[in-house]
Amino acid sequence: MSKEKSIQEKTSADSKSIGFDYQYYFFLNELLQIKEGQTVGYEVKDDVHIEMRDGMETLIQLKHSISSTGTLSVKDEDLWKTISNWIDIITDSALGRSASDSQIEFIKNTNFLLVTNKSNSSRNEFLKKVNLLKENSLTITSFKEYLLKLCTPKKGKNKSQVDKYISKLHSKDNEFVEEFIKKLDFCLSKDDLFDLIYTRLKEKNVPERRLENVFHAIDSSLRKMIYEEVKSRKKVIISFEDYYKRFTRYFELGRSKKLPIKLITPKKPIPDDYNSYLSIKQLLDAEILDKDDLDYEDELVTIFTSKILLLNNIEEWLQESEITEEEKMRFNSNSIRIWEISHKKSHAKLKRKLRRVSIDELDSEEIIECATECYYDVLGEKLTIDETELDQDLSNGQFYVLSDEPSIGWRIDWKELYKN
Amino acid sequence: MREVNYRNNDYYSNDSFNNEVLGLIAIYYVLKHAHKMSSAKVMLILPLAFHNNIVRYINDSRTDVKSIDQLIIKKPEFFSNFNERFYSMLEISANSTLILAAMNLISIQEDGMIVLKDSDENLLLESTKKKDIGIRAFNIVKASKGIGELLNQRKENLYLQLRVEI
Repeated sequence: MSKEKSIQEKTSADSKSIGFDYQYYFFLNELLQIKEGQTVGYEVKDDVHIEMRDGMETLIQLKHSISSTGTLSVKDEDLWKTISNWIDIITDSALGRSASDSQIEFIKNTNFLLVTNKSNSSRNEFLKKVNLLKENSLTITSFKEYLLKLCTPKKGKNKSQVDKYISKLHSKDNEFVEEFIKKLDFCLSKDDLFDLIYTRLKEKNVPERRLENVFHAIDSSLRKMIYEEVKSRKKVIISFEDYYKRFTRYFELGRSKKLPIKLITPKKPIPDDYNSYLSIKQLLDAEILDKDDLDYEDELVTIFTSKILLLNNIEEWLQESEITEEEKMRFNSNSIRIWEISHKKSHAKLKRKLRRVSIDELDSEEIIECATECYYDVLGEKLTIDETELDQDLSNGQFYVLSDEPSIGWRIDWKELYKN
Repeated sequence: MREVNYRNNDYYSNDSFNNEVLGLIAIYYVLKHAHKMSSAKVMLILPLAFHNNIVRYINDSRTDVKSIDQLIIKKPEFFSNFNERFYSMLEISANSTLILAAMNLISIQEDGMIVLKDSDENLLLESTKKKDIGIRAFNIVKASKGIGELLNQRKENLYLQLRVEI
């Protein structure tokens, strides 16, 4: 194999395009953090820029590298080229910043941030000096001396491009350099942009399993928007209002969907043949209800009302396709499971006894005691269907429905009594 | 409020709301407009046609539904459980298609394409009037052209847009 690159290899832009994507996803990440009064721009004033409500601006340069060893060296070309670019922006005469007063004014209102996936190296003298200067532990004169030393080439060598960038900074006066360095920031080892974006989405209460959906929806919409804006020669600047208008609906996709519960149900009349309902028979047999109770009729109304309330809501959700048959079945088996645990718990003692004696020898008082315990235990449970928590009435209704079938029962011998 | 019968045991036997008869009608009338469709696309008809809000939205004279992409953007809530609906109705979709084939109204070709057999004597329904077939079927028939248009693009893209997990 020859080392010569093929035409296809030469023209392929993988390393370039990842740089663009890096920039794009960083922009997306910033966009998801936008606050009221802010605007975020893409490729307008810099790779990405953020404008605050009070007029402060942050210019952000992004540098992504796939080939480097991974650490930011003192004479990193990207680093110094970026600084040189910023100096050009600060001294841009086309924007009326040729006088040093207006330059200083501009620096004071701007933050400069370099974001890269390269990591910090403890040996990077330049970054150390920058920090020392920021903490006022280093004088500006000695900082400039350091710059001069840095950009002076070794004997017999010519000034490299990076050296030229460094001397450009060195040539500025003390006030300029000091103010500029103090507004300079580095964000290193930023490589996990997707993690960051997913965290942003989670912060907006998007549930885990819908993260992917919401991300794709926002991503494709934003790409389309950038394409259209650039095509019509407009600048990609998004304000909080634009963001809110354009992107809020995509969070709908991730909204933990709550089923609309119809709460207002008039009290239902008791059906004439209420005694034939197994749910009622079970309660009578467990002596939880008694026909001679003063509030017997009231109890029946409560039971039938919550039963109808649940049945109607489920039916409504099914017909409006809010839930599917499968979800209904899952809901049923979940409810049965909850009952099962409680039934086993309340009858554990009785069951042990049953191993020694037959069911006819058991004390009927004890059977009823356990059934009552199980019943009130189950009534205290709250059920959930398709992420929607049902209130007490609806949850109880589900257990009455199930005890009608009967899929559940209260007494230890419910199966023998009511099944078939 | 819809009334529920006081009958016992009506709870489990109650999945007749979305049934094969309605499935036949929905698939047949969508094919009436499209004439020919891949079976993969036919499976997408019922999750759309059995969603009352989608049908209502398509039939609304004030709305103009151009494509499935546009509808998803405008009404994401219609599609939040599309995947679940797709699998829940897959059985009815397959049954209805097979019944239509057995009734000799459509033919299933070897490459999976489903083709409507067009003839005037051989119709699924003699009348599609509201009083004859009921309001839900009537609305589905009315929306069938719109549903056919929604499905008028590459099936790969449809499954991607609707996020059906395969």
